[in-house]
Amino acid sequence: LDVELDLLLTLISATIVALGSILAYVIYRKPYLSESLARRIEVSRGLHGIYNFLYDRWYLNAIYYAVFVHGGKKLSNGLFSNWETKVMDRFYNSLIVKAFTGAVNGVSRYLEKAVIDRFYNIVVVKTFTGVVYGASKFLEKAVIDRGYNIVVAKIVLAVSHLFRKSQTGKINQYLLVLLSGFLFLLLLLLLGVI
Amino acid sequence: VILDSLGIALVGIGLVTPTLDYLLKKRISRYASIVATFLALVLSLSLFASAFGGKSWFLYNEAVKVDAVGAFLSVVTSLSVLLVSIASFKRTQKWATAPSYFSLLLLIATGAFYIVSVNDTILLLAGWALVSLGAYAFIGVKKDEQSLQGATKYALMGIVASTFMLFGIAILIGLTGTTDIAIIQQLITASNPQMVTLAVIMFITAFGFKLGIVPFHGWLPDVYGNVDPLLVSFIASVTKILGMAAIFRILVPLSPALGQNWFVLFAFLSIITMTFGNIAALTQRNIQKMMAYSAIAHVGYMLVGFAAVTTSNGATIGMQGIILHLTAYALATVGIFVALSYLIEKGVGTNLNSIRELWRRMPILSVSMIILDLSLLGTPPFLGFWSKFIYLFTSPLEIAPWLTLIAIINTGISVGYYGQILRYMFLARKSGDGEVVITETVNPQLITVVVCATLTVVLGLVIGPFFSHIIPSV
Repeated sequence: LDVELDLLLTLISATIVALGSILAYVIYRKPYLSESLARRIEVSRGLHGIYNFLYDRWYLNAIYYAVFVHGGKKLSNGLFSNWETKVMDRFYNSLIVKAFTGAVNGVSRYLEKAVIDRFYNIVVVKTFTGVVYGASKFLEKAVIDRGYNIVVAKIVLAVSHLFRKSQTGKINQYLLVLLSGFLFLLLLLLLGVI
Repeated sequence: VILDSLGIALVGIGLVTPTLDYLLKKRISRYASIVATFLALVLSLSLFASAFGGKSWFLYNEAVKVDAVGAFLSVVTSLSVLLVSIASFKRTQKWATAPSYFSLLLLIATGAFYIVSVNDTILLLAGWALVSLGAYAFIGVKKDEQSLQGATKYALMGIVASTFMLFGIAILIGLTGTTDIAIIQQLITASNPQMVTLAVIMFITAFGFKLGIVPFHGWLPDVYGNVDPLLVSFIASVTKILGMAAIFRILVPLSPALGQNWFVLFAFLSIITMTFGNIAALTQRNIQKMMAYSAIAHVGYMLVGFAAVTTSNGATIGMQGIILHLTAYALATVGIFVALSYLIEKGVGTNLNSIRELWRRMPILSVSMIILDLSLLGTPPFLGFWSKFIYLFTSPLEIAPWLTLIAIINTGISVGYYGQILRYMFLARKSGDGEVVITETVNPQLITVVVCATLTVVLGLVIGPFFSHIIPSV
């Protein structure tokens, strides 16, 4: 990086700094103005004016306060009293709230109707009841009706009829069954089961 | 003295009354029968009182063993005979054979009294002959076609079955050289177990015929289902008591010689008997036939108690269950068959359709019948509940809980037909029925049914819960 030093510009700057330093030394070396100078300033209107002007730093504070601080305060008060209360409050408290509640109502109503009602109450419930109904119907038909009521009942009834048919009323058959029963027990004994 | 008096009262009056009836030309046998059976009940109760508390002693040269079990079964037998005598009081009035009827009633009861306390195989044979011959004649005593047909079947099968008993006795004498059961019990453990098992099979064939154990049951549905229900009420109750007592007196002492085979044999017979009885009863539309198959099922339940004899705890509970269930069954059977006899007499009939809304026409009979029906089913607090569920079904729990389960499933099946009686009697509407007229009249049969139902309720509440204290050790 090349840095060139402008001699003239440097010289001017240095001179200003030196002059400022000397002037500051002259002015601030003595804490107060000499009495004669103070009296002269007080007597002379022009000087008094310049002095006050300078002393009050060009009235910058006064102007700043008058314009920005108080003005800003007035502006903010005005804005608050008018804009905030009359416009914003109404807008925010009524319009936005209404819009928001309206939107919420709308959305929730939509959710309730379209999503909850239609989806949950109708679709989910219908699906669930449908599944349960289908399953129970299947169970009832296939397992209970066909399985239990029909198959088991039919088997039991068939066995019951078979047992009843074994009661032929013929004594020789009864005796045959009696002897068969005895021989069966005898067979169990011979086979070593009992 | 008590047993002598019992024998003389029943046999004496039983043998003399038909002759007196004939000579005096008056029907005094029915009065004599009621007096004799009442006397028998009092004597049995006093016998039970003297045997109460586990006392036992032998009589007649050790042919009879008097103990609480035998005495209690004598009480139940006397009560059953007394109730049947009361029920028969008017019903048999027009029967030409009424004197023989009451005579046979007393003679069979005498045989039963000796069998429930038997300790000798010769006395068993004598008692068995007395009961069997009396029972064959008793079934045919009405002399109508059904009675005679039933009596013929019963007698022919009975002769074959009794032959097996003779073979069984012969084997026992051959093995031990004695007829005394107490001595046989001591000597049998040293004998060949297969021969003992063979003897047990022979006895089971004979006792199984009398009780209706499947497959020796052939005669039972035909006789119980077709013969006059009044005759059946006696045969069904008394033969069950003596058949079960015979197994208890003769076979249970042999059980240690059989070991585990005893359980296998009785569990097998119990399962096929109760299942056959319950399933066959399901499709019956006639209550009398339904009760015939129900009788088979109840024998199956009681065999559960015998199957449990292999453990000492199971033996005690099982035997208590059998004795209590015999009481419940005797009361219910006498009550229901007498009620059916009453229904026939009143022209109602014994079909399910004929008892539609019976409670409107015969409220006392209907309620009594339902109590007995529910007792057979095992509904609390009736007597049948205690005997079935508290004693019988719990007895094999230690060795075979599955047998308890099978018995409970069978009870579930039995709801199918016991429930039908309840349904038709109380719920089913009678079509074309106009004005309801109560047709019930005070009658010895109705009194018998009411007494049976009342005893079923009262004994269910009084002795059911405490039966293990009444007969503590078996």
